[in-house]
Amino acid sequence: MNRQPKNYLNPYLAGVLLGVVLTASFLVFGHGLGASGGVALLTGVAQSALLPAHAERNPYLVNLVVSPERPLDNWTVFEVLGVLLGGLASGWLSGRVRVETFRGPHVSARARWGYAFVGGGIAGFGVRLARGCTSSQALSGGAVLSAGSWAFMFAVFGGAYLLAYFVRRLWI
Amino acid sequence: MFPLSIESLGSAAVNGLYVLTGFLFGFALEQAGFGNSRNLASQFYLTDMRVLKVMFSAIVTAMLLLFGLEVAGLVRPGALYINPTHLWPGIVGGVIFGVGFVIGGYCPGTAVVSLSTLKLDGAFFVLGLTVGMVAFGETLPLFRGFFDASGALGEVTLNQALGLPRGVLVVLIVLMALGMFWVAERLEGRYGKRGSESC
Amino acid sequence: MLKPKTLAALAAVVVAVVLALLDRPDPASRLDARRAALEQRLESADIRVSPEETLELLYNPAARLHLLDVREEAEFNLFHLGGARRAALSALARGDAGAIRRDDVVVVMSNGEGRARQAWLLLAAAGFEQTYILRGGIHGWLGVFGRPDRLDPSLQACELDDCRRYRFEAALGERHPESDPGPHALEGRSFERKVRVQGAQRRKSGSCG
Repeated sequence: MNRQPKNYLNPYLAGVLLGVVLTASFLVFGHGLGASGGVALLTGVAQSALLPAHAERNPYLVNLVVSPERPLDNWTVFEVLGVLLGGLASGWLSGRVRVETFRGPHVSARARWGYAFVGGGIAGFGVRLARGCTSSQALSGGAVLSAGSWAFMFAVFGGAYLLAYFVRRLWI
Repeated sequence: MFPLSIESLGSAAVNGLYVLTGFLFGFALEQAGFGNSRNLASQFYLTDMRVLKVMFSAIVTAMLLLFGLEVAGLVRPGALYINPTHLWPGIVGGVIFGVGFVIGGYCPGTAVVSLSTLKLDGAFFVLGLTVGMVAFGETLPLFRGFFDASGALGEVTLNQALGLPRGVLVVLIVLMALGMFWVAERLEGRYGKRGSESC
Repeated sequence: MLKPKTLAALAAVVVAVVLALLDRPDPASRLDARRAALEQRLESADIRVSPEETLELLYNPAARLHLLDVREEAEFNLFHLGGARRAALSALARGDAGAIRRDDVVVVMSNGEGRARQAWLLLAAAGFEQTYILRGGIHGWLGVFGRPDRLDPSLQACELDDCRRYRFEAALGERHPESDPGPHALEGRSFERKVRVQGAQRRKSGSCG
């Protein structure tokens, strides 16, 4: 039986909810949210584990880890873990946990996987260059009025809108 | 007085709090429909403006709450982490990230949420993120100077950069957000899908 | 009756305006407030380590110690602590502290404490929370471990200008015996320990970057 998935939450309400969580994070931890940091640390630690000699000579990897004895003992990792669990919980409660591929009407699932991978690769590079992603820079930095974060935010929208026309076949 | 001093709780409790924070974060994202790349990408085709609505509602909410608490004297000034400004790496990185966003349909947080509900495109995006990050780490020596020093202004707030009092900027941001919401509703009305998944 | 959306929008504007009006007219930014807090800590004994403790940390591999000497190159070449690295204040101001991790212990030093104070401010502002000033600086070190005639009382001590009170015959850098007296020099000495090594340091690192 296919359970009808529940509707998504009103975006303004969802935004306010997100804003409250963001505020709570600042009040409890002194800093905002983050997602790419956790992915970056996990990636870096995995890379260092697989190629230790190379990792030692790569200053980026060396400086990535804050506590070398317990490299994964970093808040970014715990928070990403929480995001995974929270997404799953919400999806489960709303009947949206299902193996599927979201894609535009003119793209096959396989092609979509390829584009998702490529898009992720480009995004991964950009996120490290910008020292953050939508959660840490745009939302968190934005809320505390960091100039660089606002510049980043507009750059993201700018880049995406500029390219959207050229990749419209992927989505519409 | 905020922020709280939680070091005394011990690392297990603190880590648990981080997991809880991430949980609420991921929950809110999924509830907003952000685990679905089509919803996210629709932002850039003006058919579904939820990304803008959620993001700016969140920023305005947090901004007003934090500003309010600071004015009320409940937040130690200077205690909240402000992302240091590295202007050009932030802008170039932002544009690159935006390109990746519209091609891949996700950002890191939403991709993790998508992965959590078993979406394959989300999974491939996360894999791609990994590769992109490795590529960054390996090529960084080529543009290290740019990354470290270009536009490295330290902790600068937007009001400082614009030479405005902080309160004025807050009001302007609220007005800007409301203006954008109004435009967004109009665009959705014009270009939006009929019988779509949005609320 | 207004729609809830309009109500919320109006509320947001009203709140923003009210807060803007209530905000302190003093344009002291968050940055200045942070600076003020750091400058207060600058006077405290908590951030100063004795020469004895520094020597002990030098011989403690778990400490991940960095000795940063912010004097001029000529002074550095004359005499410096064994294992110390020279760091220009201008580099620190640019955020370039070399490969130091946030959890590492950093001891900054200059002739007295003059330039070391500036270095401490720069490093602390950059988030290196385990930063300490060598109490008394090089003068302090030589006072404890140096030859009795090493410090010349006739040379003026000027803390803020941080001028030199020591005399060395040759510029041997860290090859002077006083550069590294060895751990046995600590025998019989008691001293306060300020640095907590290998604790579970909770680092507030903030961003993803």
